[in-house]
Amino acid sequence: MSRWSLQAVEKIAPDAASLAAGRKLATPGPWSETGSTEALVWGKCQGSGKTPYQVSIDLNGPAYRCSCPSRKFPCKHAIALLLLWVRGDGSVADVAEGADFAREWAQTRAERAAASAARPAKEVDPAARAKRVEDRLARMDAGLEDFGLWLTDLVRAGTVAAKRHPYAWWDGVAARLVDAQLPGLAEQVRDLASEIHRRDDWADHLLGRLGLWWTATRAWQRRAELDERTLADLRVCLGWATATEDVRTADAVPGRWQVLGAHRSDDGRLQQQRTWLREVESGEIVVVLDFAAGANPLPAARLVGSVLDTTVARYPGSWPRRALFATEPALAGTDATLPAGTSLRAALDVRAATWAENPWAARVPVLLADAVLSSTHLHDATGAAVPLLPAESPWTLIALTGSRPTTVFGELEETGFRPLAVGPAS
Amino acid sequence: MTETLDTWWRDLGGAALVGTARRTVPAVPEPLVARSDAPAETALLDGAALGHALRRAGAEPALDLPIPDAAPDDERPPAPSRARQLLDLLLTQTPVGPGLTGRAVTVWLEEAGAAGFRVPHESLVPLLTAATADRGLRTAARAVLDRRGHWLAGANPAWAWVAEQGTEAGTDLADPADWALLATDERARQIRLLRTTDPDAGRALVESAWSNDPAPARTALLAALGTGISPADEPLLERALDDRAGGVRETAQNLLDGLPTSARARRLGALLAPLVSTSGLLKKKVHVELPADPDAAAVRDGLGKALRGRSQRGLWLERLAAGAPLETWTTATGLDPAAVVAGLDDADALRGLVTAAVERADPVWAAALSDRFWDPQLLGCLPVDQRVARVRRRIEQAKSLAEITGAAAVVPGPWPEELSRAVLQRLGKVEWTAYQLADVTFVLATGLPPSAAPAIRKLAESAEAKPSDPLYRLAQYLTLVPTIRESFR
Repeated sequence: MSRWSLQAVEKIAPDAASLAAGRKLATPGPWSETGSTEALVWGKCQGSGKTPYQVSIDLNGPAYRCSCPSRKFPCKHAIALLLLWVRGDGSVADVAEGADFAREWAQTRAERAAASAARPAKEVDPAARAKRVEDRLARMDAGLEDFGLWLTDLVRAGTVAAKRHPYAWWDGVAARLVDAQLPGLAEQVRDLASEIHRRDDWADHLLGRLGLWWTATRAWQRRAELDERTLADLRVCLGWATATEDVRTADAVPGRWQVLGAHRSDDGRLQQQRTWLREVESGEIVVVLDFAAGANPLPAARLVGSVLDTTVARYPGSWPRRALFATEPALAGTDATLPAGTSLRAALDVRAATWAENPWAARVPVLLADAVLSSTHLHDATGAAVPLLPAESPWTLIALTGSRPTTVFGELEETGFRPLAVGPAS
Repeated sequence: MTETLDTWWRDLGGAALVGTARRTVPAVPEPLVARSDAPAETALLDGAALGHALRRAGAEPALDLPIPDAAPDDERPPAPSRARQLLDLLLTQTPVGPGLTGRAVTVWLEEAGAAGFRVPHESLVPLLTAATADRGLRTAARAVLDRRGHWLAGANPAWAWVAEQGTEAGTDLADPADWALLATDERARQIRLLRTTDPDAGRALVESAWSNDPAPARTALLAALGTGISPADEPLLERALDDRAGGVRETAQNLLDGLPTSARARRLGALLAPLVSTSGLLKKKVHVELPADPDAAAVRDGLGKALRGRSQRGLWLERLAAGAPLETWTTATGLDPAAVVAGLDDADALRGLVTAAVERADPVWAAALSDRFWDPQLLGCLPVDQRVARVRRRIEQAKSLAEITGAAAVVPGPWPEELSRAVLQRLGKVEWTAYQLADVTFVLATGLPPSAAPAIRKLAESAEAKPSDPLYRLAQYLTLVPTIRESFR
């Protein structure tokens, strides 16, 4: 396998501190017994202790192991080793056979993966489970009833009055929603509280949010009539998670999945990573979500442009479906180019159709053809334009495209577009 | 329909702002339908849900925005992939530490420029960001940004420096009329720039504002004439000797020390010559008498009052030695410069001689004087090959790190082999701390050849340095430079 790019290594770092620590260690000095094969990179790193840490990296996962006690994953030693490896200056040389400790680990990993695939799903007590669900439903019923009343009170008194409330008042509302096991709504209320103090068009934005929440409240009242998909969408909006074991065993599709783009965000409370995948044959697009709270690291990011041989299991709900990796992905390629895109108007139609199915959808993945990026907008060949979402800097993608028409992959949200990857300039 | 919908949404928003207790909720426009029996709050929330869904689903793209101009085609090929990796490495996770990164990036940029390559597109943003923070990178960066880079920088105000061609090179001289309005520091800077290409025009500018400028400005602008000074500047300097302000007079005296053919030099030479004589059996001792009280003309030439604690006549002697033609000494004693310096014992006279030799960049006197004194400025007047031997002697006796690098810095890098060897040997014999070392790695990095890397690494090992120690960084840097060069071939 060819060596990764430097950016690829940077992306797998769980956070900036680990990357910085890795960079410090990425000098040949503390390393010994390093080497790499097609699938493995390994080395020993002299730390403060007597025995050096053993670091092994399986490039196919990628997966990491290190004998250090760090809870960061991958740890600074693994990052440093990869940084040395990508440099390709001979400090981590290619050899035919892996070192013993690395080979053993790779073998155990393979055995364990095989074992877990063979192991039957955990037994659950159906009665206890039903009881738990019933309790939760009762609490959610009461919570949404309260929330509905809060909404009507709010519009009776007027939203100007609501804007005068301090953040703590909104936070109190959110806390009650968390108690009622409605964390998804709670999150949206907290977001809104900061939005209305930040935005000029806060009144319009608030009215729209009220409409969406009202829809959710009313839909919950009639949940017996909802089809399975809409109910699943509503559950996501309210924050009732689907257990991963349930997903893993249900709707799984094997295939070759191309990583279209990825996005990481950190709002101080929660880090989120979205990875958009597209099945090479069918063209289906799914999103894999990873979360990490506080200082815990996110799982390693997938490289954009790579193709993964894996089975993904899809969560219930409407398009775009959330998915998880049901089997350990195997890297089948690294240089896939973006598939063909559409016009911006067609993308807006897709967005509208998505909302028609799921009014609570936050964003849709879109591939745009012959799109031109400027510092503030994305333009398509017909002259239609959509503003870029302000949080991220578009300059790197602008430098890559030179504002020439290219295929652009990104996320279309209510207020704008977030470019995540670009194809070669035409 | 859109218009009706907009009006309705506005009215609905109005009702929401003040509350349904005070404002009626507007009826849903045809052909939309709403629950007829709903209370006002419910009707408003229903309306909000419906209206929001309609408005966002029907949102139209903007159509009248200008599409940005695409970047023009680059003229150069992108740097080879090995070089790209190295630049990426330097810009994102430098192995040589913050002190030497700018230097290493500059090497990369200059090599790329010389080999006819451009910066790859993916490195443009990190490079522009780095050069925005570090001005030293800008000139070299500009040359290899190519069309894409210039185009990109033109779109982002933070990178406006890219288009400001030549501010560092000095071709952006202000109009004389505007020049007079600039801040004094900037006016002086512009004069210095102009003096490097057209000294007469620079002097003319200073003269044009001479009668209006206040004393501090006159002092600063006159000092700026030190760049590219020549006998043509003498009339203005003579005039400045009569200036009202002491600072201006003193600046003029100092500048005239650099003009041995000036009338002032002749005047001071005439005062100095009778004081110099030889004595001893072989007439090898050079004797100087202290000057008598100066007349008004001599005071005007710089024989003024000494500061407290300084010998008055000693100062006069120093000023005479600094201002008089150096030939005064050889003529009065019949000795050559080296013999004059060897036979002279008067500290004031010697100090004046050093000033004279430095100001006039006289290599013969500088050589003679630097055999007696260690003075980097004197060595600066010597051809490089003459510096090396003296610097080496100095280094062999150096007792501290600062002495070693201070001496070595007199020779511009890359150093000749004998000097590099001397520096490396001495580095192993003096003590230092990592902090002291961090301050001087730049000098070592510019001077030492790549082949010194193993020696530096050995030194670091014997000092049990940490991987982040400046010595390891330095070794990394020295290894990196030939790798960078190699990567463009």
